[in-house]
Amino acid sequence: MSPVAQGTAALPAEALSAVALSNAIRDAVALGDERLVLMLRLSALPRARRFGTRAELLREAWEPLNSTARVRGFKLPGGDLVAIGLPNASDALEKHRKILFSMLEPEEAEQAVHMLRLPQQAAAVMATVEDSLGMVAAMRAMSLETPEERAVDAAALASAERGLITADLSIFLRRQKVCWLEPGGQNTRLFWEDRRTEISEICERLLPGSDISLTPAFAQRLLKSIDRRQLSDIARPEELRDMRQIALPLRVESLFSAEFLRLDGIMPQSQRHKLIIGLDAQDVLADPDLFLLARNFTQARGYRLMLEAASLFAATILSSQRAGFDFLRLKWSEDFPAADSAATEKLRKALSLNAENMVLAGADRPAAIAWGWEAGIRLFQGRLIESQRPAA
Amino acid sequence: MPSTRPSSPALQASQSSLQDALRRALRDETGRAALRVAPGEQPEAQRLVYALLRETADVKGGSLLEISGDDWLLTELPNFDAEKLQQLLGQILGKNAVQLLPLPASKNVLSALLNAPRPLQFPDVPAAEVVSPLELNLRLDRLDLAQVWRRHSIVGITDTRFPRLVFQRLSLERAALRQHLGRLAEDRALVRHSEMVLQKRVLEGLGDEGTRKSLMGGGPIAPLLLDLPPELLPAPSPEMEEGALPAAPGLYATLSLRDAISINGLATRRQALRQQAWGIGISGLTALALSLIDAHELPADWLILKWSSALEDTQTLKALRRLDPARLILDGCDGEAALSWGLGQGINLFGGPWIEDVIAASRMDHCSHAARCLRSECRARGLATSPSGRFGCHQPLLLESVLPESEA
Repeated sequence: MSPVAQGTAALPAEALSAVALSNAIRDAVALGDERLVLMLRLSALPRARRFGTRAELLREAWEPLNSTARVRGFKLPGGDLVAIGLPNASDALEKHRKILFSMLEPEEAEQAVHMLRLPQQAAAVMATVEDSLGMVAAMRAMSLETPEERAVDAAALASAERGLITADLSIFLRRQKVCWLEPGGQNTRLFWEDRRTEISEICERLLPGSDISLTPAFAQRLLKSIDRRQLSDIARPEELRDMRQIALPLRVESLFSAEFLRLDGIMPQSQRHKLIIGLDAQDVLADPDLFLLARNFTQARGYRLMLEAASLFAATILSSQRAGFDFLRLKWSEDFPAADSAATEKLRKALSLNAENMVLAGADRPAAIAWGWEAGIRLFQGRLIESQRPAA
Repeated sequence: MPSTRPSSPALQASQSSLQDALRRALRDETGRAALRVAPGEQPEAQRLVYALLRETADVKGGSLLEISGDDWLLTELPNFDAEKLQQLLGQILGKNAVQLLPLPASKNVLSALLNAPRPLQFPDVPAAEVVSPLELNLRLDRLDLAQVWRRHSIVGITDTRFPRLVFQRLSLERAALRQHLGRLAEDRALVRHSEMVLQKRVLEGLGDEGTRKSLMGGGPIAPLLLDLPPELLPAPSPEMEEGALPAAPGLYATLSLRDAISINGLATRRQALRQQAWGIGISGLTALALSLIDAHELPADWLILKWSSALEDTQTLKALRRLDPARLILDGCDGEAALSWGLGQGINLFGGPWIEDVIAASRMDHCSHAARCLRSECRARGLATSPSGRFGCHQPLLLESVLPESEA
């Protein structure tokens, strides 16, 4: 066994053995070398036979081959055993073939014990290797049944984009309060307003009958168009004149659009901290170099950044602190671990953020707020929060 | 941008105004400075820097000139504005990308530019236009898988042993795809969508024995790493065989970092996939990515690091120390430096252009027909994913086996 095989824990030694076997076969064929191959295909036996004492005895009977001169043994994934020998090792191989044969019912033996010659019968040996390498099994598991008729194609995307130009986005815009909420109910304050559109709602209008989530890249493209529209809206003088704190989810790429650069040009330096730019964790990791550029730019100009994590998993992988975000926004879901569980404790440690820097969205039910409080969160957004009357 | 280089009449006319702008900047008047900026290669960075420089130049005067693609000059600004701009651009691009040239003290630099062999010009930064997606379907239909897919190899190397094949990897050659997409490639979303379409086609191709042979040059000889989006992973199988031997994965779906974090419950999903002979690899771990994420929390069989000298940074090394080197593959190795760095970190699986060179060389050492071929031919045939791409090889079985093993 090579040091590589020992080191590569996640790749079983058997798989490496299969690779070595297939290479040995090909070498023999390529160079025209004669070799004898003895195979014990345990995987060809009925399930009950593959385990237990009988199989153990078979393996024991095989064992001496592994230390026979001029013979090289291979143990394949799935349990099959193969030995390749030089022509002058034929006696030893033949002796073992007979022993193995005698240990099985004649029918089973026909299926499981084979003696083959290289280079003539290479194909039969290779078939065993292929099987054991799992490729065949992997292909069987493959599912390619995307409901094609609901997927958006390029022509539909183009027409949706045309529709977006004239659509009134304001009817899709959800404005929600983000409030500071303490257990006991003191100090309830409004921190900012969250403004976002649900792409699924827009697509219901623009692409009736299709499902944009089947083509995530197209969804991203539509979102970029929506971003640009939103940015133009905010850049209107009446919006800028008495701008309150708002959070706006944007694509990283949108921060380099003409619309953002225009807004940046006209927004007074003293106002920029009021715009909190939300970036999705996936979008950040799609191109970390571009994100870095966007982060450096927006922070140098005085905007604040919020990392939006679609799941706790995303939030634990991408560290909002190390990536330089001012806020982390989580969206509560039923499958969050129980508030007082070890998982939450671990999460709390992993996030290690101050309460002022974490937002829990989707606070539509008391359970969400309870979870948030347990997790050290005080900033909430959701239907329950809309009914709150903050002091400020 | 190198699009409008030939000396058209318009360009000659602008040449004189460029020269005038430089001469103006050379006058003897203090309190001014020029700014030299390296905006980098990314179109987004160029557009941003252009907008910021123009914004100031429009108000405060001075001309924006391009010395070369990645070297721009704002000829003159009042000191105060120049310093402010220097600070801002330094924060965005890094301090080394911006240079302040006080005037008239830095006259020499500017007059050298007047006599530079390469004519100056105004930077030509194309605005971010929205590319219509309409042609996309047609382009993708016309694309043959072999044009964009390559058969790469991941080898195991330790100090003492000869490299041995551990994985094969089918990967999309992004440069070839971009070339085929032409202007459509300017939109990242369209490129990403194309990748997904091609990944689906290659997966379907692998399921068909004939196409699989054509892509792989024969049957599988090592577990396969395949770049896939999460949408193409097999659905969790309802009937899990009781007591079934955990099959060794024959196929490792390599997910991009972006896609990996989109799968909530990836760890559980990975266990289920294992029953179906699928494994998970995660690619795109650059030095920068490692500084942003907690990579040790990623549930994957393999983590694929992208080699660059930035990995040698101490912060990155700290992050790496939390990872099990036995789970790491160092990809993108372009020379011996990468290999020795990797071995130093305890990594022993490697891929990349330099590895392909090593493979072609050792294959030719074993080949009785080696004298008839060039190394580059053998390398290209090894990477090819179609019979025509392998055509001309006199030892197809040796080519198939990628890397000969002279043991048995």
